[in-house]
Amino acid sequence: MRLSRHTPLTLSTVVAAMALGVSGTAQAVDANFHGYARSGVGATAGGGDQACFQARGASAKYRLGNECDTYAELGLGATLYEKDGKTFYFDSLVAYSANQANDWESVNADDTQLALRQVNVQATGVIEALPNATIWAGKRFYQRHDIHMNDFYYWDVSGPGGGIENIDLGFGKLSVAWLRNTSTDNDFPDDDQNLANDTLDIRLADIATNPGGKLEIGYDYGSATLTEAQEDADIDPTKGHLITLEHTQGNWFGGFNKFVVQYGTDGIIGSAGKTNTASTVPEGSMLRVIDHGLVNLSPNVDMLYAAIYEDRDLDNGQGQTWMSTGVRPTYYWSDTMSTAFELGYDRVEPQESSQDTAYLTKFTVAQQWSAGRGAYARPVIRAFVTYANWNGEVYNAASESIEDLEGDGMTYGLQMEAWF
Amino acid sequence: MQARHIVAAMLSAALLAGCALPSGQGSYALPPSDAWLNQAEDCCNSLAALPTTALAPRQDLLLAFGSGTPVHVFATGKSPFHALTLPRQAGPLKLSWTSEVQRAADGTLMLFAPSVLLLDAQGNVQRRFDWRDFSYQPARGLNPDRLTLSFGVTPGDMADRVVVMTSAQALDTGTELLHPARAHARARNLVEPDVQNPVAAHRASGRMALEVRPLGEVDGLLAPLIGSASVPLVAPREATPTTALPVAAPMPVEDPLGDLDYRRLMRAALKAQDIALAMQLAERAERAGDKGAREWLAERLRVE
Repeated sequence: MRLSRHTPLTLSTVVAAMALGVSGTAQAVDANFHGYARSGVGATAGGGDQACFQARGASAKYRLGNECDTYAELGLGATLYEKDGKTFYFDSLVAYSANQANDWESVNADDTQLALRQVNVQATGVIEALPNATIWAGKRFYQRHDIHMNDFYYWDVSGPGGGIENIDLGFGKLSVAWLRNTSTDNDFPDDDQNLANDTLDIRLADIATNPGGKLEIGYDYGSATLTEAQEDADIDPTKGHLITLEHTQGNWFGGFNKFVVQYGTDGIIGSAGKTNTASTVPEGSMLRVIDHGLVNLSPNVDMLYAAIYEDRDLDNGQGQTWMSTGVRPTYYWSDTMSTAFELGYDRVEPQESSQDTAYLTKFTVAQQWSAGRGAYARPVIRAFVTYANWNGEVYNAASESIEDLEGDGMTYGLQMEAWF
Repeated sequence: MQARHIVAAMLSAALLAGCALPSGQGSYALPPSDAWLNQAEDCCNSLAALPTTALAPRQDLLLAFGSGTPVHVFATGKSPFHALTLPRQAGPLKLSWTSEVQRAADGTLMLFAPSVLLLDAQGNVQRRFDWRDFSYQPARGLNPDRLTLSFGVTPGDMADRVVVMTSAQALDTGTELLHPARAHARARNLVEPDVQNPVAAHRASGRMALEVRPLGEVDGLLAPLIGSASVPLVAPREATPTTALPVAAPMPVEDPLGDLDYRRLMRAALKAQDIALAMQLAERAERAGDKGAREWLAERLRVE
């Protein structure tokens, strides 16, 4: 049975059917409404709003019962043309982020953000010699890789760009893209200069390795397109390289396992692989090893898991080693109710030996009601309690409910999460 | 102390809530196998003799298939069945069929893979819809993975009753489902993990939903806005999904739809599980000069 890539709005058939009954130039609305949202309310035991627990220096935090914001993405896409094996698909997405503090959180408020994150067109089959390839241009979430448990995007060069993807080489699929990630620089050559950072992204995916296993190899080159003034100032942007190897085992106890190794240098060292060539960016290298996935332990139990090792060795001595591990087992009482537990541990050791190592452990229990069974069933409404323990003052919170010298905290609340 | 009390209260609530429901609730209690089918006796000596139930012009039915269902040896194999008589005075009807994937207590996924026959008053087959003619819809929200099909029919001597059953060919295979991790990746614009999609085994046991409505009636949110929409009727004649419907006018006529992008329309019809509409669009496309529209549609109807 063919599995369609895009899911439709039911409006399509109505319009198509109506087109049969009328003359003129009726158009089928083959629209895809897609998106993501999370929101809720919480508090900290002892008083105050909900605190969220993240180890200082860590690039992510385990998210179950540990998200203090309202965030939504609403997207609309449509196949605008399809004929003779050629398709043009338009996609768009707007994101909204707020502190989750009031009813009216205006987009004009300091802590509220509205962003147009996707506006792109993807054309497939338009190059005769490459019938399965897609050329694209515009702002786009480009081939993003993440760990759902802690919302960590370890390979995400999204932004305005363009390229060609899924060129079938017989043994794998090649994708090449050019993406932009502009930053501000105070020294190139003077205050507040825009620095047009570019990423050249080359990926070779779908390489069969072992039964049920696939390999993806990626190379990202980060540089900058300099203005004449920046050229005349003899600027030397902090170029960078990132190599990624990812092996996915697809027949993995009813789920999957991803093993990832990344090595990056200089201006491309970042949590997601985006380039920043600004003069303030230190040079150095980064090694990151990740293993994460999903397993079905029994008909009524599944588990998300993740382990991360990231060593940033910077020339200015401001690097760190981040280690993180977490599990989220969930027991399903029925197709609509489950109990989830999440245990996460983060440890951040600064490169400077004189600085303290930060660690944070969090544990959450959540009673969930979801539309369906499984770790990815959404929407879900959950009631949670989260306890976290950390060492001294080295801790990040989104709340003043935790005082400086406290070493642990507890929160509770309600949250919904949906994607479609 | 306060924190401890909260944790204790939450844990207690969670555990009590969980204990209040038996494990596996929500899963359909499927029999372990279809062995019963081998022992079941053929109820009737012909299609014309199949016992029928009368349909109303507006009706929602949940059809169960199992050891208590009458069995007949069809040309396509032995199968439990339901035969439903169409109401004669109701005018054109739209029949919408849904077969949902069921999950057994041990986690096994199963699906009743239906075939639908349209019989005339003498019990002869006028149209046949194989399980491959149904569209697969991935789970979304509270809707589980499912196969769906809808078509319009005008009850009469040539369209007297419908029979729903399965086939030996269908029972030999299964339907590939979209893994939830892939659905999540699609919704969030992530790279889809190369996770193996689950397969629902086809079974002779299960259940199907049938919705009967007057043809042209529009349900749902948009009904007050758009009123009734035309839905093509199924021609009461034996045909395959890609076979041309009879053309009313032998002479070439100007297509009232003008220079439409028929494949977009067909794609929209397919996504809305309206195969009959897609077939009619393919015919119009061919007549409008889009040679290959039928093949294009056949390719999309092909079950991998």
